[in-house]
Amino acid sequence: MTTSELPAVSAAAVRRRFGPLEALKGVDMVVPPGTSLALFGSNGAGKTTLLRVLAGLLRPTTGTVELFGAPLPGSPQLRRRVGVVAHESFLYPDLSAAENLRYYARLYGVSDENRPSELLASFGLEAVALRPVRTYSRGMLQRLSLARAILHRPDLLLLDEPFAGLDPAVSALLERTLHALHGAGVTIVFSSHDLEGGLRIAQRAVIMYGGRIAWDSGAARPSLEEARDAYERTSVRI
Amino acid sequence: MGAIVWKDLLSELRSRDTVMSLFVLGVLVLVIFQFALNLTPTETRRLAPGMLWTAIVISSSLAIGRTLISEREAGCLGALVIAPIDRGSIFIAKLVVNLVLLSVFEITLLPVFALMSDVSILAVWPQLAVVMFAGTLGLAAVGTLFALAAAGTRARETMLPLIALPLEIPLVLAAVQCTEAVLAGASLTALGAWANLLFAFDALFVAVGWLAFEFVAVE
Amino acid sequence: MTQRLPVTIEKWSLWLFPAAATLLIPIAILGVFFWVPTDAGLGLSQRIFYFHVPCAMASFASYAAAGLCGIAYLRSSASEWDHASNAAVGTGMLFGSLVLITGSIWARTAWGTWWTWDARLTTFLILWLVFASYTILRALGRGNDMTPRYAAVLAIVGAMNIPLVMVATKLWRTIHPQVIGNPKGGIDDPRMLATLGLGMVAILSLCVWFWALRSRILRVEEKLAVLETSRP
Repeated sequence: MTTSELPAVSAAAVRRRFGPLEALKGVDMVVPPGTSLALFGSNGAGKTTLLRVLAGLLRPTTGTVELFGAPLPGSPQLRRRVGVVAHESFLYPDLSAAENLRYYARLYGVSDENRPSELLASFGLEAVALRPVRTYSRGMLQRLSLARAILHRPDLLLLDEPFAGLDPAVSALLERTLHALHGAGVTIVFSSHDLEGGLRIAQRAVIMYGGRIAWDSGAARPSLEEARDAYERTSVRI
Repeated sequence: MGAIVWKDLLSELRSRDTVMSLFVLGVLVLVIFQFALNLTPTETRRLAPGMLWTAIVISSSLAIGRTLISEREAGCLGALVIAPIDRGSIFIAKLVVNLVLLSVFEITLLPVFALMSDVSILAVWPQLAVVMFAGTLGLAAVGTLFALAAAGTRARETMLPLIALPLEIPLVLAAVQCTEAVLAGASLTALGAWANLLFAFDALFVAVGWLAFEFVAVE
Repeated sequence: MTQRLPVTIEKWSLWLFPAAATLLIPIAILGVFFWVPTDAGLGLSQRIFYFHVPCAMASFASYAAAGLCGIAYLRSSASEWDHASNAAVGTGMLFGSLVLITGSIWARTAWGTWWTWDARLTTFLILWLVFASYTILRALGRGNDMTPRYAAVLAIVGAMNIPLVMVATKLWRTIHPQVIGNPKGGIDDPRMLATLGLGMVAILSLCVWFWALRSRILRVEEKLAVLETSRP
């Protein structure tokens, strides 16, 4: 198998317990490189937990996760290929946007000095770049979070409900950015509550329910009706 | 790793919370000793090393976890966990930050201590600096390792002294003996077994912290 | 799922050691009070030694086991090892406290004081304090998922104090009686050795029995919690 054929994400029998509660009950998933995949599911289905396990923020209780063929927790080199946008912003509230990005640039070994300011510009944040992050609105935080996540040009981007709570303008910006990244060959896995919006970006849909994958559209891009049907079917279980 | 240290120190510099609370706490402990024990000047001079280290240990165990805990609160510990650095390096970076903070605290405390207990430190300051550094390194290592553990309990940061102090007793013992010897004019090589214990403790806890941080930082 | 090592040991322990302890402890007690001769130097109070030393061994073994199980837990993330470690700390605290109490009683009769800051006493107390903080950590951290992990690290670090207790008497002067391995003031009478040996086995049996009980209770509690939350 050549490097380009290795799946970007490969999860096998992943379970995750929080005390007595089993949030993931055996998830198997293979994501070929360059795919953009949308995770759907009701609250509590396990989307966030799965994304956090894939990101390396949570250890699976049992099961294995491999990114680009290397098992987690991987080497620093492996982690450099991954960008994560989670519920937490991973931004330091007392530092400014510029300082945050410079810090992460150093942390990730980004040699291009102009990259932070380029990103600030393309996300429309130059005006507020010097203000401490704790003064930012949700939209600004999300934009900066995304900038932080793609600062180091990752090969895999994991996003947990990136569209939640965003106004249409920022939402559209996020969509455009993800489209562009997908076009550039970045593997994208994101979760969303919005079937229609999610399917505009994703070429593959996975529906989770009760800690398991209930439906996977596979290699073929699903239509909105298909997805809606599947969602209804899988969520009606008592 | 240098980036982390620098960023933490920068934000500490801006808020100055930790060093201030450390200093005030340290002075308070020294003052309480004076009043509670009602010592004569001779007694004070004899007990001085013990009082100094007690003040340092108590203050540090209450204040030391702050960089880690506030990071965890902001969710940023996760950012470090996914970052392309060794988990052990995160520990070392946090250790260095705590070490710097404690050192600043001690530098401000020492003059106050010298005045209160009528002890001359200027004459022996190089040797004293080494002993203080060695003791502080051990305290910082234990504190950094267990700060997250303490913060996860109902008692939050106040749990840290409970965990850290029993472990630090051998260190404090050695540090007080070495300080006493150094203040009396002994050279570093003459410290013997106590110095060995001090350095052994440091080496042990830095090593354990570096190895175990992986398990402490990732859920 | 294959059964893990601590669970296997626990199952065997629960039928073997109660039997052993029930048999041996009465015999040991009889032996200590009626059979073994009185020590020439220390007199009647010396008999507490036959309880004190085995309790010390039991506590060291428990704390060491807690540390080892902690390592196993960190490597495997299997909760059986966490329960084993937790239970071991429990027995360690029980027998450790008995060591301090019996030692204190003896100190009062032999030295005239309940406590002294002797090397062995102090280092043992440190060990006891570290695991006392372990107990508090587990109690106060009960809601948190990460607590078993932090506790495991603490158990490992705590267990590293055991060698310190052992070598304390070599590094510093001590007034604590040196009986075992001491060429000058050791045990001459074989009946004393026998009684001591019997006491060791008896108390260690009791210790393992308690460990197995506690470990089982912890495992069952965990299973119960899982069942309760998965009820529809």
